[in-house]
Amino acid sequence: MPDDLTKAERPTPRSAFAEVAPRGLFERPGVVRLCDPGHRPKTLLRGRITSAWSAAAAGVLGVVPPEQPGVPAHSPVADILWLGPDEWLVLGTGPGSLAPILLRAGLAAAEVGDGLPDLELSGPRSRDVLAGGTALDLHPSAFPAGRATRTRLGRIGVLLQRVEDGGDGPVFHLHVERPWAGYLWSWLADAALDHPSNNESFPR
Amino acid sequence: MLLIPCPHCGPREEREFRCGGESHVARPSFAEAPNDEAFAEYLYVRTNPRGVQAERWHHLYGCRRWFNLLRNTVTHEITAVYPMGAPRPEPAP
Repeated sequence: MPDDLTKAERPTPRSAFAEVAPRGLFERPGVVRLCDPGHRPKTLLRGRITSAWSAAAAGVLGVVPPEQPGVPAHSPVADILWLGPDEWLVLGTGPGSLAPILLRAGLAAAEVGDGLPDLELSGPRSRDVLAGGTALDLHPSAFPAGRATRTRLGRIGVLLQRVEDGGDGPVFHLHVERPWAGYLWSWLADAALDHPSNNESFPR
Repeated sequence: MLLIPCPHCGPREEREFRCGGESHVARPSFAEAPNDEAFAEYLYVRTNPRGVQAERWHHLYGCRRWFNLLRNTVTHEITAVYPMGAPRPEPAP
């Protein structure tokens, strides 16, 4: 295959949410706000934890990947989310993918940014909307800002990341496998309609 | 709904899991002695106890790992969780 057809040379693909959300934004005032933050590279890292493996990973990423679920590891280069005992998602802070650098260091890594889009859910009622679809305890005492876990929302699996607790309610990032992106967006927008908005004089 | 203690993620709700059926069902050695009767037993015959049963579970919507647990089929009480390949733990006295 000629070089100009390889993945790295292709333009940024169309947003995974384009079918259901052409503008990439849904807002129900006083309830939630859905936002498509656009494409960014993400790297899936696999490996069995040994001291040599951890040292190699820390050499590239600046921090040792977490061994326990929940709390991600941060470094100036990347945020590393725990997915399983031998599986991590590396969210690079730079514009490029970290997969080639990890591969050169002898680690098993794959660029999955195209296949794992994410959306941002924020707003005062975002926790209530999520609680309608997942059995996870989302109270700040059980799932504080900074935590991330894979779970089930509605009928699909998502990677749920609580990024921060702002003045306007918590901010969640939901990473979803691309075929289910439209379902996730529609489900959240539909669930938001169950809550009374600021703009309505009566709850529906 | 069961609250299942995943050995990697902690207690999670049953809908995040898939049950893989009974544990410790040994596959007959087909290469040495092809035996239809033994294979039929391996495929179809299960103990189905009224009481404590060893089961395989898959944390499909979490860490995607398989593990074993002991579940009481009458009370749903889960008494032990242990890794794949480990022997069945002895019941507590």
